[in-house]
Amino acid sequence: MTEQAKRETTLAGLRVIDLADEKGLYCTKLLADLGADVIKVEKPGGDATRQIAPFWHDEPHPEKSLYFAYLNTSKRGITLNLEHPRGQQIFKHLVNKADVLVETFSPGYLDSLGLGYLDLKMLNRALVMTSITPFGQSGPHRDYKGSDIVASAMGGLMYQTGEADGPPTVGHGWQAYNMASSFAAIATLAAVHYRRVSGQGDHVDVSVQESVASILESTLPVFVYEGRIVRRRGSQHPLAYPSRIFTCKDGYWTTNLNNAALWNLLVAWIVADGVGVEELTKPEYEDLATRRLPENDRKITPLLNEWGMLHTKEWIFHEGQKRRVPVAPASTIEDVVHDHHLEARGYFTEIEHTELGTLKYPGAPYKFHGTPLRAGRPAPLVGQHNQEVYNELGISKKELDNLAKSGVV
Amino acid sequence: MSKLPLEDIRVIDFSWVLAGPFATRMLADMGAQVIKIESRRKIDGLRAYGPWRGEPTPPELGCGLFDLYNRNKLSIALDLTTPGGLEICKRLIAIGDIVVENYSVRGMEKFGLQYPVLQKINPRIVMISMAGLGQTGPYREYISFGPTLQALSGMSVLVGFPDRDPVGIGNSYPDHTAAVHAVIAVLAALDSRERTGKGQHIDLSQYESVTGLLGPQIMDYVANGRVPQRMGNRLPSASPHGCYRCQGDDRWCVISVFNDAEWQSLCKVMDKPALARDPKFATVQGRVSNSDELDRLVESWTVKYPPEEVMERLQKAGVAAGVVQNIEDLMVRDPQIKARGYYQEVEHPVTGVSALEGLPFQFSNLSWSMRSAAPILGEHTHQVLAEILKMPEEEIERFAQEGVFE
Repeated sequence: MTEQAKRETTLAGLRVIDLADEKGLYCTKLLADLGADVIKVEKPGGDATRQIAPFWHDEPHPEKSLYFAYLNTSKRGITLNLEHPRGQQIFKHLVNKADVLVETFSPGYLDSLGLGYLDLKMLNRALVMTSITPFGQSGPHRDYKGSDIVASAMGGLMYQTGEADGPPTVGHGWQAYNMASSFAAIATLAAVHYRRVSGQGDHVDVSVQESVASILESTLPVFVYEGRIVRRRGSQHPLAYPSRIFTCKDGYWTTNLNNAALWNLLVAWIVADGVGVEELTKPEYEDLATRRLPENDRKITPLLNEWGMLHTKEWIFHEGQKRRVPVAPASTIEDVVHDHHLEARGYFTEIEHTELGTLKYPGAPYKFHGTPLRAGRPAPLVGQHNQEVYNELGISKKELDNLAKSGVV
Repeated sequence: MSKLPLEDIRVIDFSWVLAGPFATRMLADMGAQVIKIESRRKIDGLRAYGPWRGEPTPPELGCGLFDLYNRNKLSIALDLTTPGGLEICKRLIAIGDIVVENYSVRGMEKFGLQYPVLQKINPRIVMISMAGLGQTGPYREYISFGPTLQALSGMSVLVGFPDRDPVGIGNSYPDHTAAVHAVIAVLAALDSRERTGKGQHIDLSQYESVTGLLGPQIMDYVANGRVPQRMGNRLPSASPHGCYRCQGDDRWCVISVFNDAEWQSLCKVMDKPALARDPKFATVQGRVSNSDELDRLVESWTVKYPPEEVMERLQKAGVAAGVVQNIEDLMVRDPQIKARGYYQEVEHPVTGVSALEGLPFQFSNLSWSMRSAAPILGEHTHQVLAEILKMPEEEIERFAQEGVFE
């Protein structure tokens, strides 16, 4: 064993029960990849999130969802019928030995099964229970139905995403859920931290809508301080110019210039190709506010697009950075997977999965120099760890068979 | 008042602009004592970004964006290019739990404050570096901002409509994703420290904090060779799923229908029984392949009503729908946000009372809080020296004469 492998993982010893659907899968994935023992509890036959595309080779199958495979790495998986009295008994047993429970049911559902926070707290006062719901556990909209796009709309981010002359636009890949999951992991770990002092758990109530409203950036201060509502503006950032996504030979590139020195560097580079020599070198454009005026933007943007068409995004990226101009390619997913920088950082990990074979997965966004991340453990198959986990609870193989027959597991 | 979960944690904060300060603000909201190290010679650029009430005020006083991301923090003015400044900084690190910095790579080395040095001063210190592209790799010295990182990460080209150029998400998304992941990382490292007694250095990449949120898209390419494309507001697995114009100027409502029961409910609310019976729309596949027609039909109904009414009627029938709210809707009208007390007011000694957003979660016993407005530069210099470092007045005076608190 290497020195690294001998060291324990960052969250070693933290046991998490995972009842999450798409709202919270990323939360428990974060904890599992950091080394917590996450036990995913699915309904018999497997959770509905196993039906979410994309699928391996486009074959819809509960063990072939790539969505599920990515969001459940490093977890153990069991099946349990929470609506069956014996299932509820076993669940309480599980919770008794757990530190954290993450769930995403509609408010009140677990209470109706006798498995709400107040019930579980009686068994385990140190339990940190984290509930992620579209609008939170309280308030007039608590029973409203949610989805990622509904949260993105109600949280304010859609209103400011999209073309100025187009409809509000949602982010790609269920980012409202990703943000809610991330905030949920923060609150959970903070409550776990406090528990060390107090021995007391907590019920954490995460709102997906508020998670979106927490990342609007200048929108709140602009409204509160200037009384102005931030609207959609295409890809143009309000505090820099140019910062739009421009075209190039093989796709798109972008930049973000917030001062005169950077503007001059970009202009010198572009006019060397004979593009916009007269227009771009106008001294008044050194002033950010001047160059972003709509009438000037209408002259500058086409020139940057025209210049981009002479080059590839890769060339613009490295040549620009050589000149210390903050440019970047607008990468496709294909570009990201083949990126040398990510490769050199060991960002991707190869994970072997019984049904999917060995695939390259995105890794974590942080490297811990003292404690290793847990890598290389695939998402569980339906009920894969039933025997192992139920055995830990003192349930015999024979009893487990009976439970399976009666539809409890 | 309920307890704040991170009351026993002290953060030495070297961060600036957005990603780092947002991370340390979350820690501060949850009770950590965050000591922001700044200098008049190297001011946090966010102080000069605006917005302001009327004429811009001097950067030392802050501005709208600075106030949002720096509440609950203490500010000490410390010139790290002076030996005295560096010495005081090291004394703070000696009694700190967490160090946060989001300089470009090797920014801390310029002050001689790289992790091995910090570790010698305080082996329990957890340090997180949040450079755009991380501390290693061939492009680590490349200059980046939130918007350029969003493009690099693959997100920007995926947001927008297939027949138009990409727009990206309408904020500096990587700053926010980096901030949340940084908080997760330091809290996890504190948990590990409880067992090992040791701190550690964490290398976070803002770039990777976004690519990890596109995991299923990346795996679709890896396994199937498919390069995901922009889809506007649609999903391949649900229809109608989109944003529909409603009555009023720039008023919209989103509707998402995932199954047949919800589709039937939608038809009922729209009072379109013929549509409900139309075999073309009877299945998810049928609705998805006829999305263009369906979206036009749905919009011909929504456009007759204000978005609030569309939402309420659909929600009553069990269909997920929501108003595309702007900040005024959120802060002034949304009854849910109001009932949960998400926005709260903080009084700033110079700029006055402002409402600020809270954290998107509530605890049952614990809490987060807005205790104080964002600091004026150096507002707490004396307090930090005298009360936290217990420095005698003569010593403070001596350092002051050396020009350390500039």
